[in-house]
Amino acid sequence: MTIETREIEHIASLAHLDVNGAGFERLAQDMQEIVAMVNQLQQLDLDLTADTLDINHKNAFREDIAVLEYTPDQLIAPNAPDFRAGGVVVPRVVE
Amino acid sequence: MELYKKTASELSGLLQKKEISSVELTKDILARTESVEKKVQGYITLTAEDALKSAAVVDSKRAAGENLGALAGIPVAIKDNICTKGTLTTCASKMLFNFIPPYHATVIEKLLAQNVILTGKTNMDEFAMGSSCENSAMHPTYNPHDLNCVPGGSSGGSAAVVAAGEVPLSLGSDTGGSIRQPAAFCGVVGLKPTYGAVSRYGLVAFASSLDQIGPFGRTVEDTAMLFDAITGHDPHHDSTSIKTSFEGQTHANLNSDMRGIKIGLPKEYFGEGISAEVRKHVLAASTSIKTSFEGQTHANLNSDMRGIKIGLPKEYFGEGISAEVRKHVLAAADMYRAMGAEILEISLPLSEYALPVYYILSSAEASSNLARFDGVKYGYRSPNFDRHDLTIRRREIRLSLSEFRST
Repeated sequence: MTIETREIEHIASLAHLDVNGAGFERLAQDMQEIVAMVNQLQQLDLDLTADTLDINHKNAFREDIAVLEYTPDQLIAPNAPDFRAGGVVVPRVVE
Repeated sequence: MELYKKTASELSGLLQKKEISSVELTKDILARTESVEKKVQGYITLTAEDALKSAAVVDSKRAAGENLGALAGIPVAIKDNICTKGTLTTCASKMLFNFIPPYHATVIEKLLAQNVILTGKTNMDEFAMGSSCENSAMHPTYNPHDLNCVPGGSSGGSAAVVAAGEVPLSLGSDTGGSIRQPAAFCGVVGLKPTYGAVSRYGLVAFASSLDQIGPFGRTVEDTAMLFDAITGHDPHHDSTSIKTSFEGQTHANLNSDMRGIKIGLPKEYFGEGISAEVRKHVLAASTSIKTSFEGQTHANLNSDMRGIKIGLPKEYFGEGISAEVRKHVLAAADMYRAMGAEILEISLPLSEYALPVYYILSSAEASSNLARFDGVKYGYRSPNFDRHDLTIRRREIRLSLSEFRST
């Protein structure tokens, strides 16, 4: 399975990745190799594999109880790039 | 006395008998760090002053007759993706160049409760993605055994500082080999615990269903001591943490009879692509298996392996394994046979599919987990922020697919 150049460009655009220029060839090559490697899984005959899931294993569930451990002032303010009036200030995204 | 050469177990005994103080010990390992760190570069942040202060506090507790744990007063270094309240935690990324966690990871709370001395934060591949410590945005770390070699990764800093005698113990994290591989490269002991055995609370997530925090030491015994200190169910902070039957008992069990225990050596792991560097470190490891058990108080570890079965998976000895690696692994197997273990050939036919599955899971989880590093609530915010153009920041995070190579 090979990926077309335009598919890579499309994926890059969706991911907002700037892959133009010198790095493109290397990235395209790496993507081809990764997809080829993952594609090996298609060869696997699942009828030949044993079920190794531990059916007796219980998932860990608990009540979702909210606990106030920190206030935004303690938890967020010290590291926020811009914090005012109890909130994080972000760049304007709407005209 | 060159305290930095001693194991945590030996130091624990000396501290408890008050033959040395924690301040003495901490000064000694800091002096060692001072003399070798320029070459090794295992740390991102060294907290020498805080370490000495904590050591003085532990010494006064001991002098006051307080009942302290086995690791009290012993220095431990922490990988820089484990949150330490008040101490820079960067994940070796410029995205978190100024991030100071407002809380401790559960493992740090546990270590502090045991009066461990934290020496600082160790280097790693950025966001724990990499296998060489060259993908740190800060600086590379070098292998103390040979500065021309990498220490492995992503927990390369934690492995290197232990191997270099800068600290007797350290914590790393392992998603797809990030403790086990650097431990092998640096000739130290590293453990990726059973998933759930150690709380992930406060570990910056890479692939949440695979991440585990684990210990490094220079001997199995030391590594077991540190593992006992960090393991345990953490019901309120990590829903994937579990109660285990071995909680806190690993070190104690080192003493006991190992008859009936089976050890598998998967043949697939010794296949194609094993390098000369790996070969060198496998050789070093097979030697250290012998030496780390010799002269220990737990002499039983060395002598009796009757009833233990060791599997050699045939797939790992197939095409591509170097003659030297095969020779040394089989020599190690012979050593265990001489101790009474039974060596069996086994088969793990699905191993070749493990890496593709790992890539699918870890990439998907990483893409979800790392979406939070957008510079909104913390970390680096690009001055060139443009709502249409996340490209600049993405480029700065240096997380192109081409750099995303296993681990």
